[in-house]
Amino acid sequence: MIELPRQAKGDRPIYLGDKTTDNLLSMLLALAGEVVVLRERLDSVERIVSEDDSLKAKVDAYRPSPDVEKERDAWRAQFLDIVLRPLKQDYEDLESRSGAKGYDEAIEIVTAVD
Amino acid sequence: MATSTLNPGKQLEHGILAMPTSEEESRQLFVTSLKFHLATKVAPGNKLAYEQRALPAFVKERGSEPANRHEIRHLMDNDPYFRMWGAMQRTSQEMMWHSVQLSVERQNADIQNRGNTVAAPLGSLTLHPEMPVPAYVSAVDIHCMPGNYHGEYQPDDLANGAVYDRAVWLYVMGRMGPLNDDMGQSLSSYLQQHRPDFKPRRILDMGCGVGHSTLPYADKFPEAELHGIDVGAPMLRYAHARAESLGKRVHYSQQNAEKTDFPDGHFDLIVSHILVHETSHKAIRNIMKEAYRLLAPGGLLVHLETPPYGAMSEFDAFLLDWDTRNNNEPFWGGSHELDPVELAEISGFGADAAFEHLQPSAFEEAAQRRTQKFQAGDFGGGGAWYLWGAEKKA
Repeated sequence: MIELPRQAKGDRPIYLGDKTTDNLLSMLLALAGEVVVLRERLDSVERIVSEDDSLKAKVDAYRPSPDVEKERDAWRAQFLDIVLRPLKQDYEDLESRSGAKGYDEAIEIVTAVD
Repeated sequence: MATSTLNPGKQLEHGILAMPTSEEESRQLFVTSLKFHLATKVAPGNKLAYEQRALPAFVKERGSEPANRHEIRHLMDNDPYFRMWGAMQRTSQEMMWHSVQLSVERQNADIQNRGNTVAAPLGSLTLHPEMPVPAYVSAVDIHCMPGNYHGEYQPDDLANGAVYDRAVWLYVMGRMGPLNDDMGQSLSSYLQQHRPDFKPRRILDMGCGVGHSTLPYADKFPEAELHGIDVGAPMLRYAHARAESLGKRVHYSQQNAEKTDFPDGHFDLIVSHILVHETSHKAIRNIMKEAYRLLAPGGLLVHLETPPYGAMSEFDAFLLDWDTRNNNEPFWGGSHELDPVELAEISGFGADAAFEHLQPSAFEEAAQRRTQKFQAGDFGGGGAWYLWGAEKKA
């Protein structure tokens, strides 16, 4: 067994202001990936368990059919839509910027006496 | 084996591929889904962020628009949306390598064994361990692959070849076909379409890596003697094993394309696929001169890359240029501003021998998953490749 190096030679840029925030994002994405791994493993189990009881070997050997692959593709896309919702929010704000009303304006509207 | 007979949605399970377990495959395919999400749903917002807030603020302050992509970069480096996209793009790259490393490490002994015991080979493998690794390769680990093309971690190591083969399929989201060979297929299709009578006797693929783009020439020109050179020994060991398992005759050797040991006029066709952007200002000039020396009269040199910045808006060039500073591709920007005419002139071909061409992707099955854009983090999504080169006068 070997362990290949995990770090690529070359300085990593800072994206989000500081290293800590960058690390939080990297951890979040790694965690998201592991959720997908778990979900798909469970999916394999659900498809296999009804047939036979030799689960482990079957789960390890399971290869999704083209149809299952399509389902999984769609599921991963939906998962990303959910988890990465804050980015979509930013996108929508950029799209509708011209028509957006500030929050102070909303308070003024609802607290106006006349 | 013709790619048309393969499952277009799967990487071909050739004899040396690091086949993932179902769990490893989930981890890997998550990365491709993440990359596709970033390319299709997040990246387009960068333009909005620029047009809606960054640009108006700049114009208000300076009274004019940014003059070039460099000014746009300095401006957008402060935009929170662009920074978040960049952070995720970079992380997706790191996750990609990691997800493949885990799979390669688990089956390391088996891959090493299969890769180093090729029986009755059709082609050959020649290594030169004493050959120095050029500075443009050793300076940083290119596209953030830990250990790069030349890193070795055990005797006769081909681990990073195995990592590269699988990771490329994930990186391009399968859009270069089951054999990752769309670039070689597209370039060789160009030759067949535009030079139907061209029958090269010997072909050289410079910077061949694991041979993704090399093998199509074995099918398109079965009579030709086919050579691939690269500086990375793990790539070449893997390339050799991969070609043999697919029944293709290729002669791989460890050589620097700036100065090879082939005789003058040895080749009729010299090609490279995404080699140029991984070299340097000096090296590409040496490579052009070496290609001129190696070509027989009437021979042809063709490089394949993504289109030059001159053909796109400053903003699109800025977006495509992200790799230069964020994906360990230091010559990405410089290579996209090369002048084929100048390079043909200084290398002996002559200015009038230079040519450029935009060739559609040969792997049509991926059309629906392409964005038709040349943007960072979306390699293989453009639906076309930029070809440039020169013909040596007969």
